[in-house]
Amino acid sequence: MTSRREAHLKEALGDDLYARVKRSRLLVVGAGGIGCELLKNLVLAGFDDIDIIDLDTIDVSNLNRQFLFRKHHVGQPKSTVAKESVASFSPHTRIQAHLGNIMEPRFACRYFSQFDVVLNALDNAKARSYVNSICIATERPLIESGTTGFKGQVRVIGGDVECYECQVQTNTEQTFAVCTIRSTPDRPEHCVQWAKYLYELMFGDPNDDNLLADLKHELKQEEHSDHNGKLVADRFAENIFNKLFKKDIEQNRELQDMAKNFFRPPPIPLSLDGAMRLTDGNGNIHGANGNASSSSSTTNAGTPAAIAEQKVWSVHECAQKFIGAITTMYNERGDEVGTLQFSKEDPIAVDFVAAASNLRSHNFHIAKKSRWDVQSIAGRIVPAIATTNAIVAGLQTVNLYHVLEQVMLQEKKEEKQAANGTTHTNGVAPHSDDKRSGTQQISLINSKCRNAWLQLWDSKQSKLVIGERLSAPRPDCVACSSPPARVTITDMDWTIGDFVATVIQGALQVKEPVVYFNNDPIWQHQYDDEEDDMDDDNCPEMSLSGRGLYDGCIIDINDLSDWTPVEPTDDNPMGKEYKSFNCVVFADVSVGSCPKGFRIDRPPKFKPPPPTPAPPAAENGSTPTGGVKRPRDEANGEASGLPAAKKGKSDSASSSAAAAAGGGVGEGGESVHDAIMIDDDGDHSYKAAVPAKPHQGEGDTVADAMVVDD
Amino acid sequence: MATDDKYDRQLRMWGPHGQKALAEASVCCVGSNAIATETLKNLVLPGVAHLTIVDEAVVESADLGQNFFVEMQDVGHSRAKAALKHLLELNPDVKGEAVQQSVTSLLEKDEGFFQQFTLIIAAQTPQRDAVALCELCHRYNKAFIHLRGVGFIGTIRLFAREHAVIETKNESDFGDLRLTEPFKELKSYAMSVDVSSSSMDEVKHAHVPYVVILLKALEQFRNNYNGRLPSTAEEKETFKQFILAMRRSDKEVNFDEALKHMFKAFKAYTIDSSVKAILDDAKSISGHEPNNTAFWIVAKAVAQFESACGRLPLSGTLPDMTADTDSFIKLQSIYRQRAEGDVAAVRASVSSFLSGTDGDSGAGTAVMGVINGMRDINETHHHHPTKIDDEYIQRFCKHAHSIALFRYRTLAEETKPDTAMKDNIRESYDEFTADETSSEVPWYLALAAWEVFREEKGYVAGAKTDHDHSDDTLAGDVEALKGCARRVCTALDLPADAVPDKYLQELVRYGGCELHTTASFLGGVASQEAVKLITKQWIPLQNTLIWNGLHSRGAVLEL
Repeated sequence: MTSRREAHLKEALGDDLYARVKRSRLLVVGAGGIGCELLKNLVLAGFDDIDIIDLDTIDVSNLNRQFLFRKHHVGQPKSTVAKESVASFSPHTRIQAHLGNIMEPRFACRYFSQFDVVLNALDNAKARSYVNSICIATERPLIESGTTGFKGQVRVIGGDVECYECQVQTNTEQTFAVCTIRSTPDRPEHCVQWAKYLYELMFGDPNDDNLLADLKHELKQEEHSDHNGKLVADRFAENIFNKLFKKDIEQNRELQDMAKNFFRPPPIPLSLDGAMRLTDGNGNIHGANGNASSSSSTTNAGTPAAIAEQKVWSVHECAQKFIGAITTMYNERGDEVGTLQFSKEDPIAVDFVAAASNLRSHNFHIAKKSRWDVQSIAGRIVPAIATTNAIVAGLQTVNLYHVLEQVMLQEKKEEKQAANGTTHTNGVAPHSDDKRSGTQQISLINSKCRNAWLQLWDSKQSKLVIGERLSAPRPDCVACSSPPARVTITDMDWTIGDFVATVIQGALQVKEPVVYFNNDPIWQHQYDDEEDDMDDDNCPEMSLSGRGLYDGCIIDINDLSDWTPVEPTDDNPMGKEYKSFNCVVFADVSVGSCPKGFRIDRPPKFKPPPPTPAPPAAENGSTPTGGVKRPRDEANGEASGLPAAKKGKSDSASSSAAAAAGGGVGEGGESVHDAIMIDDDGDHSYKAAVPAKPHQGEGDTVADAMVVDD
Repeated sequence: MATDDKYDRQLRMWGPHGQKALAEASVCCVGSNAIATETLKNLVLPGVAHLTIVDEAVVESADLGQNFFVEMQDVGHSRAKAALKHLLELNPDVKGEAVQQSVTSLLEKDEGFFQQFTLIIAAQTPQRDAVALCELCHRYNKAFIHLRGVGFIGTIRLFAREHAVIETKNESDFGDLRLTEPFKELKSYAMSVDVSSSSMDEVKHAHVPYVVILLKALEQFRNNYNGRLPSTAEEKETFKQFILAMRRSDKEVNFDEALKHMFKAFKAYTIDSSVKAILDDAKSISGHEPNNTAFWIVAKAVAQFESACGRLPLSGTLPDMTADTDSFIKLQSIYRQRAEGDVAAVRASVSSFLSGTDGDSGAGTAVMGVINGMRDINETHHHHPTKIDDEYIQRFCKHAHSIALFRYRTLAEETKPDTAMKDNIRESYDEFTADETSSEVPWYLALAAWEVFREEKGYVAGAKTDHDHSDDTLAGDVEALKGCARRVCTALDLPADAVPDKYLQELVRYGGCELHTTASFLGGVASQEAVKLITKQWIPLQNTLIWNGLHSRGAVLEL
């Protein structure tokens, strides 16, 4: 229905595109800086049906750009407040807000399938990678975005063009060697990283990525309780201080002496008493509770507060802050201890990390940093402002129209095929709520979509925004070169045994399957002669849902009967790369009247061989074709004949699925442990990837401008 | 604590002094359409002081479809008032006022009205009024941004009579280490470090800062080569060997750094020609813009410093490098002290100018005259007109090697055939004929024709009314627009048919409609430029952005 308010829009878009806009369903992932802009743009771009997801709540520092939020909203969920703000302006728009992590199972493939286009407004690489993989699995076009300061980027992904993983992300990882963090720091960043690990060790539930995990036990021993068994926080804090900054440093010093490490000056142990006596001339801000700047932050006068924060604390002050943060945490927020993850918006967390990292810097002769700087480093804060977000969201919306034009083309094509009697492979109707379940993918490569790069302008440039034609995917891209197969079964109550026999071995013809879900083997092919000498982990009678699988989950299927030799590694001692593919499992009762009805929506496509083919071990010994040895024969009694554990492999679909189940995403959607520079609204990687020049010679014209006007 | 501060993230970009400039800025926007409100939204959020919206329009239902800052209940009421109300809700720090008048009548009756603002934005203002506003901004020395959006196409045009930037934030900054011209303290410190002495222990040796290593190698080189710098490949190799000869082990990271930064020892100290031009300009202080008084006074002091010393004040910052604490702090303080000394010299000159005791009474009087004329709230660094904030002097000295000055052409100059930038347009047009995607100049020409059409016909090309939207009318508008385009092109010495018909057809098809998507983009860029103009940081666009939203391309052209 065209309302008068959209007369202009209809005119500019033309009737067909306008109509398609009106019946489109969109998913916006993220309601932060870009998300707010985007939601507003979409509503005013004519879209009437939008889902928006965000796991975050509103912080004061969001208010300078996330314009759908006001001061009184602080602490409330971003997604629902954004929805309410827009709804009050545009009551006819259907917006569904979800508070949650996009990587939760409830938002998996089934959920994605209902949308025409997905728009990312994310702030971290992990979630971007995950959404990318689900969009590939469900064939949804994806419009990606990111900003850093004055720079930004929009990328259009889907069908026959590059996906998020196709472009090698350079200079994004800022990883530090384990020993650098643990024993030989020489930069402030190393100490900040160490302090973040320490924070989670003391107040959170550290996972295996925490380089200090083994310290947990030692710290526990420093706990000091009163006669009621209650922890005495200040004594505990004092013990911890002396352990971390004195005893451990003394040990480190001895080790260094033993190792005759002449290239670094010996570290200086620091006791709490010693620290309290040290004032190194950086002013005298009193009090361990940081009231130096808590007072006046009104009317642009965050400024004096900010200046106070840019002071570097003396060792004495650091010690006070350190003890203060620990006691405050135990005495006032005791119920949170054990659950916290570092948050750059949590003042005590920042105090703790600033103090701890500076104390460690003192130990190792490294320059101390101000609280302000530590917050930047620890929170991977990249400055975020309203203007850049607005530009990028505008670029996303322009591209959205162009994507929909291509969707329309594809739909016309499919209609034509349907009219010609071409039906789906097995003649079963597609998903009822699947917007586009055609077998052909949308084509974007010759569309008017552009990957757009917003540059920081200087006088030498003639472009502020570079619009680059989309390019074909990288043939060996781990994420999109082998999109997951797709099968639909009647329900998730199938037994694993039935599923493997009927679908995997039967229809998909995987002879000797090993099936993983969340990196966890749920089925390992058994050889007849081995039934009694090994534990059989398979539970053929268990239901798929009982094993944790859900409608729209992704599984990873390997075929032990089909492999190529690769360089043996620790993870893969036998040097075999098995043929494997991912597969989405949907449940839909309509696929069969009989109990075991199913449909193969998309056949498997094997993952590409590893990028650097190993020198064939086969030539020197066992031949892959001749005497194929069965896995167990070579294994040292362990089931190492299975394909190497998926962990660490850059297999986005399966590793993301793991992340989905395992959670592990921190505040703001930032994983605390991925050492990739990430900000509130953008991703550093984009900066490095900005091309010097756009591709030349694109022959686009405006003749076929925006509209297919009759 | 930082989280109490909603401006935390932006303070990390433009600093407290940038924020102060914003918090003192008064912005006037002519127009309350979607482009206007999208621009203002991004200025209200970061906290400008005051907002004035000038528009006589009342809210119509069509506004609801594209302007986020008007609501159903505003229909029939002043759009300036409605937009202001909703915009101010975004940030309680910002005050504002709505003036329900047309810009045309304001220009006629009370042009002094515009004197009170820091920046004037004209959104969708027809050419004639835009030109007049720009002239006014030239006269009153105000920054000005003109915005125009038609369908998926738009332009952003900046104007400032004189815009001085200290912090250009050039990302490829070479640094100011003075390796080739070490000052006395630096040189004597470097020479005091005896890298070849066997008494220096391994730890110390592996932590000699690379600056010291390079200075020593260069000294050695100059002793052998008549004081020259390495220039040929062989000489550079010799220099490298001098470094390697000092090295004890390939585990010494500081020596890796020295090799990596070696090139900085090959480049003789120079002052960028554009900086030199500013300093030359500064020597005659009269005739400069009152809103840049502080800039010119300090520039004059720096020019004097440069005449006397042959170099600019030292920037004084030392990058991170491998070093033990003692040597790093030592080196840092050497640079800092020298920089402070340089600032002190500049400061002394500034005071003598301000007090008129510099012996050049003419200049002193001129300075005082200029200062007395200062009335701009744009001035970010003065409290008393006889004093320049010391922080400003320090900042100037720190960035002296990359200061920049821009003088913009007026809209009148742009649009008059005898003063138009025909060469730039021609060059861009030639690029277009070679490759359609490499230039957006046809859109600029098409919009110029579109303005002529509106001026002559009194309505926008392709604008449909309820009664009259026949295809004949549209075809007629296309023909008329082609005629306008031919005249525009001919006047610019371009072929009469320089604008392909399809561009003109597309513009007519839009019928002058404003799209929110375009408004969002243009508003984002315009506010970004406004921030640059107000904070006087970064380099603002020179001077026009041509936005092609059909292909996500934004080209910058000086017109």
